[in-house]
Amino acid sequence: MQLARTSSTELTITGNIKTMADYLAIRKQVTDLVEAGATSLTLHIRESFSMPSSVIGFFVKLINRDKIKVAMLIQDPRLLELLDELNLTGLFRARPLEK
Amino acid sequence: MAGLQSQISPFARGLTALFVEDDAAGRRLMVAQLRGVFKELILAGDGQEGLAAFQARRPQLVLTDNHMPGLSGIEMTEAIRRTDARVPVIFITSSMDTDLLVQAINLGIAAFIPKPVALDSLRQAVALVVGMLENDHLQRRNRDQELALLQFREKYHEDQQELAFRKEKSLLENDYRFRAFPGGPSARSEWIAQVVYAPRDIMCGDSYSLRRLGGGMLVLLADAMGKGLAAALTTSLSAHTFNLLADALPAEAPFLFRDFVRDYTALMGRRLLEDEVLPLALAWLPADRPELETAVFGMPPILVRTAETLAKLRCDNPPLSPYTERFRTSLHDLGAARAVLLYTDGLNEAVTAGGGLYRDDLDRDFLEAAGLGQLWSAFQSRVGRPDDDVAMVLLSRVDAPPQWRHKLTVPSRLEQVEQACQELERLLETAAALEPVPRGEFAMAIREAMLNAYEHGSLEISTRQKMRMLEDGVYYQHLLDLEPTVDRRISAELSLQPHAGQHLLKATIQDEGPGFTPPAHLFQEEDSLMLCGRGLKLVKKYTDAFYLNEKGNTITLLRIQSGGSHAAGPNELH
Repeated sequence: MQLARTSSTELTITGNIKTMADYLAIRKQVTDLVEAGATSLTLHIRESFSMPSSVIGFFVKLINRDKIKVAMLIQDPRLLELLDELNLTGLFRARPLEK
Repeated sequence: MAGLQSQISPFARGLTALFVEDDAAGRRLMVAQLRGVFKELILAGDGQEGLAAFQARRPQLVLTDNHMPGLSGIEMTEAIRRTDARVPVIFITSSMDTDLLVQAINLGIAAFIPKPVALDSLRQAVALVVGMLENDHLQRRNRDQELALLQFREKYHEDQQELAFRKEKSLLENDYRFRAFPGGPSARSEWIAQVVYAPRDIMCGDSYSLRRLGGGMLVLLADAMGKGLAAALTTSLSAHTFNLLADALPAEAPFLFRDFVRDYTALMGRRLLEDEVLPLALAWLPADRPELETAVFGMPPILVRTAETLAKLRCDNPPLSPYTERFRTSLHDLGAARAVLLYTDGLNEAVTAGGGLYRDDLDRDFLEAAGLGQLWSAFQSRVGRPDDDVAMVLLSRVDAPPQWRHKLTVPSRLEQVEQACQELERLLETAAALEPVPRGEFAMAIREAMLNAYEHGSLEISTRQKMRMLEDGVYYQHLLDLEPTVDRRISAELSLQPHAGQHLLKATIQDEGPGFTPPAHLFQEEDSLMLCGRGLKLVKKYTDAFYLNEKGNTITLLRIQSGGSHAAGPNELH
């Protein structure tokens, strides 16, 4: 997985999100942006078909406890389907990302 | 001159009328007579102007003279009828020959007023037309009210049925939902039970129950007569009675299948109406020998698949009725069996898209399907939406000698757990030759199971503790702090075995922790506010089945490798 900061409120994730290292990298980048003053974040998630439960838990906390507005633009329909099954589409404001 | 206002129904005061008359004096007179009768009276000086006013303003009634320059009253009405077949028209004319009368009747003229216009004629004609409009209005309002009432009642009944269905589902038990079943003398012997439960409407006329008694498995599958509420009541009663009897059996006494069937049929037979029958199947699989004992009452044959053959276990008895006094049971050898299918007739009696019955396809689909998900998909692709409730129980052996097996053991250290996950994923690619999509999905399921073993097994962190630490942002550091104090290992075994002409990937992950018992409500509700607890949901999504050992510290994940990409199981899979 590669993680790129594209603006003060935007991150782009390419490759599959799966390892603990991926989770830690996402957590660090997002936390850095929030500490720098971001109150809303947009994630462009390319290629990943899934999201580990640790990453899901982190974003749930970020939205509900830290009150950060998160939007996820997702390329792989399988990940959108997963979030829908977990009743997270609304919370994560997940919508399709055009290729 | 006195107006008509007090003599016409007040309903008229909500209407807009159009009056078409080329004679200015006639218009003035009519305006005076109709003052206050309508909400608005639109005036037009000839037929053309009248038609334009009608199209622009859409009045609820029209009064028109006939003899006018340009468009006559009849011609204007013809033009109006092209777009409005219902608006009532009152025709005012000094002459009425037969041709004109026929024309007027064909155009649905509502009333005629002879010229010169007498006040009484005008009152009668306007009262008649306003009365018609008022009746229409009342009828429409009544229809709307009835429709709203029907919609309310339908919604109410639907809500009631949804509540009743929740209750009905709560009576279904499956002690083997997350457990394997030994079903044979060998320590390696392993079966899994999968259930499809698909109501046709909201309530279901089928029911099932899988109970663990002394290590053996007792199965009920019932299919009440008909569909809907009455069938649901009988079938719920059958499941409830079955569960009560099973719960009441003394744990230490040996289980006697025939005695159970006797007690159950006596209780249920007493509760059936005099003209009611209940098809049902009772089956008993002891833990220590590969046998199946059945008492089947008016149900389709039980299918048993060996490595190469298909056997059909015929029904032992007619359907249960209030008059049932005797019954037969039969004993079948499962030594060579790989799968057993019990089902209600909603499956084999379903009409396929080609117009045949699914029973003609069932044997082949059952032989070719490597799991319940595949069988259910095959059924749905042939039948679409079945016309009856469907329930089926599939018991599958998952203990064939593996073609290869790889085991690794790591200490409970996050870094080494991660390395083990990566090694297992490489094995999925090289040894199992999995394509990227199923490989990635099964690897994700293994990873979640490994992390569960690490966090909840080895480190014994409860979900509540994890949630609190995640909220405080200290969870990851807590893991690293806790690791050195724990001397427990995690092992993972990955194997590939032949399975119904396909292959079965099996990943078994074991920790040395105290074990975990899945809560009864697992997977039943999605709570988007929970910070954790989704690991097993991902495991379920990316596997065909999974189960835990008795202690709850070993989880086995199964995935059928059919060559193509994995299709997620249906929602009806329980």
